[in-house]
Amino acid sequence: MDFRLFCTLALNGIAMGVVYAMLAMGLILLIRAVGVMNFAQGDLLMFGAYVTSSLILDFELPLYLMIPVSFICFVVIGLVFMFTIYWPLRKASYPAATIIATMGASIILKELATLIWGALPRSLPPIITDANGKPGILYIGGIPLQWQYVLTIIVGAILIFLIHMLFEKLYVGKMMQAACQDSYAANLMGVPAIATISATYIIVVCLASVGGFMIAPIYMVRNTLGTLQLRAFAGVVIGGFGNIKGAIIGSLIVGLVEVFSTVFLSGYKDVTVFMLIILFLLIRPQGLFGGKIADKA
Amino acid sequence: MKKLKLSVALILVFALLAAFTAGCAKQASDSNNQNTPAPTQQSPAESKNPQEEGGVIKIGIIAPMTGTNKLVGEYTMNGAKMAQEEINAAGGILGHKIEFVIGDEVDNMQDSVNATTKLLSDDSITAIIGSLYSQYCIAVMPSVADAKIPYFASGSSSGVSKQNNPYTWQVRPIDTFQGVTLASFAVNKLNMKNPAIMYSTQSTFASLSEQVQIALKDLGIEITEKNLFGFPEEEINYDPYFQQILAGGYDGIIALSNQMPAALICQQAEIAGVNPDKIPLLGSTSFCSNVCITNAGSAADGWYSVADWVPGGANERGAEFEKAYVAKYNAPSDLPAATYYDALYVIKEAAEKAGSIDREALNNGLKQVKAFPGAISTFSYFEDHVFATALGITQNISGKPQAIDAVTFREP
Repeated sequence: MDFRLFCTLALNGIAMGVVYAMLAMGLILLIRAVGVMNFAQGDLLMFGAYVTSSLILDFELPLYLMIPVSFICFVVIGLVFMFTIYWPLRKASYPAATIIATMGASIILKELATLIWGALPRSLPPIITDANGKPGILYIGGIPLQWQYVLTIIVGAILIFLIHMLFEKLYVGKMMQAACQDSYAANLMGVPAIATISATYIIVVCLASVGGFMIAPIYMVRNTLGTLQLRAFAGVVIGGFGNIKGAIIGSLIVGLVEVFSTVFLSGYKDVTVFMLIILFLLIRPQGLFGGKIADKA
Repeated sequence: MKKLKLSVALILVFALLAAFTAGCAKQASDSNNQNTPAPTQQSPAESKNPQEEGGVIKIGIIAPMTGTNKLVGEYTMNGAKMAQEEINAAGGILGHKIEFVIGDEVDNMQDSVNATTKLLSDDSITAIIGSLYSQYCIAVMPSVADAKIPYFASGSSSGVSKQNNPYTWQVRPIDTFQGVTLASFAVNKLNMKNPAIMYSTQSTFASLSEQVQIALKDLGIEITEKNLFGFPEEEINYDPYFQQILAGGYDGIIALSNQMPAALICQQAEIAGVNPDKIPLLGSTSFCSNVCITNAGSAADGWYSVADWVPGGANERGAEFEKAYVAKYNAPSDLPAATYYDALYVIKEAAEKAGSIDREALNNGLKQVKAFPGAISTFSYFEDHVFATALGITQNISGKPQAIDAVTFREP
């Protein structure tokens, strides 16, 4: 494999890894906050991509207007999602009710998207284009790199960094986590659990939706985008359940393994990724960073 | 922590269920086989004559009415309804008005098999037009043989005809013929000597890929593992494949996939910098489909396609169909519409040849179909139960597929 091919494949793998990481972070945040594995995480990405495509294609909003409007939409989606899928079931006697509700939400989101936007995929223009309106290419040392992948990595990395800082370094983030872990004590101390849980859901929806928007120009907006969640789940398993750093690194590994497997095992890409999960479950079931979590628990 | 464990357990249970249900689909077919009444017993179709049901002939339709392939279902029903209205307006089939019994196959084999099994158990249905996806058709073929009902497999895999099921028929040209035509056009017209073959690993396209490889070898082109780029049907990221193709010195691309992946392949080929003026691009029938061109936009331009359905029609009947379709639905047609439209007309022709709408008589009537003009091609009975006789070759120019050649692979 020559260096040029290696670089272009690595860029693609990292870009996909970043998108999986955004989904994986959302999964971890919800597991930490409310103990729910969200099976609709990938569908939130798909729905977010549809929303942004609608603002761009149907309402013809320029980027600087589209960003704040879509953020408002994501907030609304996050709140609706929480108050319909989680909140009414949070005290259900059957502990899996909230998890199963997310499976239902996955189907609802898919069908709702088809109902609103139709069965045809939608094409979004790339954020950076050349003079002919074709997707922009960035040349580094003579190696052509697609701008959309580069932007996906940059935007994803910034978001991941900000959320990591919020939950790991800032007082507000720690307060949110504490409130989620013991809502009774938090309420007694004047921190409303409903506010912290709502904020977590909004962050989760924003993460997924921005990921959807970034990959939409390359992969089109389709109701099958939700299948990306399986890769995010693989990243979570590899990184270690409950660990944000682990989920990010695990997702990057999944993205890279996926891309480079096409070189050596074309046609068995999915098999390679899921074999990797099985290997981890056999050899290191706690994941790469699982040890710390076990200590904390 | 309990919920976390529960989540992991649920995911594993889901994965197991997915694998198990795929096995169950086959098992269900097999168990149906075991319960088959002895040949001397009266079949449900014989015990109840649909001709006695007040001038109605019921045709079962299997299509994805919901789920990710809903668009395919819309085309399917548009084509079927158009044929239904035309035939009913002209007096129906031997005086019987057509009525549809629709089975929703959603987007997976399990639902497709369940929907078909339900239709197979309905004695009032005379014939079934089955799924566009060959693997779904193959899964129900043992049950079709048990029910002794004429069944049109709308897929194009040669795996269907290889089953030698006496009640299963195909109107589309099967991959054996497509493979030869694709290879011949790639080598003789596009001068490919070292093509990259991209194909969906779904059984239909894996099978078509094998047919292309065999035909290429017959033409003296050596195909090794390095030429093959298989991808899962749900693939969305084709850039790694194109980067390898660009770096590998291939002199052409032959791509084989369904319509939705075809659109993504066209779009990502352009993004990756694949120039059709330098590397000729040849695709299966999906690459000239309306779904592909609409979604890929200008990125679909330049692609050649070996097509069982040429949008706009490759013959007089096809052109008439397209004109009527556009007038009725105010949009161009696509392969699923033409396939179900033609299947219904072939059923009509067979019933008229047989002079009956009894299942067994209709099945025998299908053997009498000869040089019957259809939208896809002229149809005739052959021992392989495949009616089609011709394929078209198109090139996408300025967002429209232009028919540039037609290949009759066997005389009608």
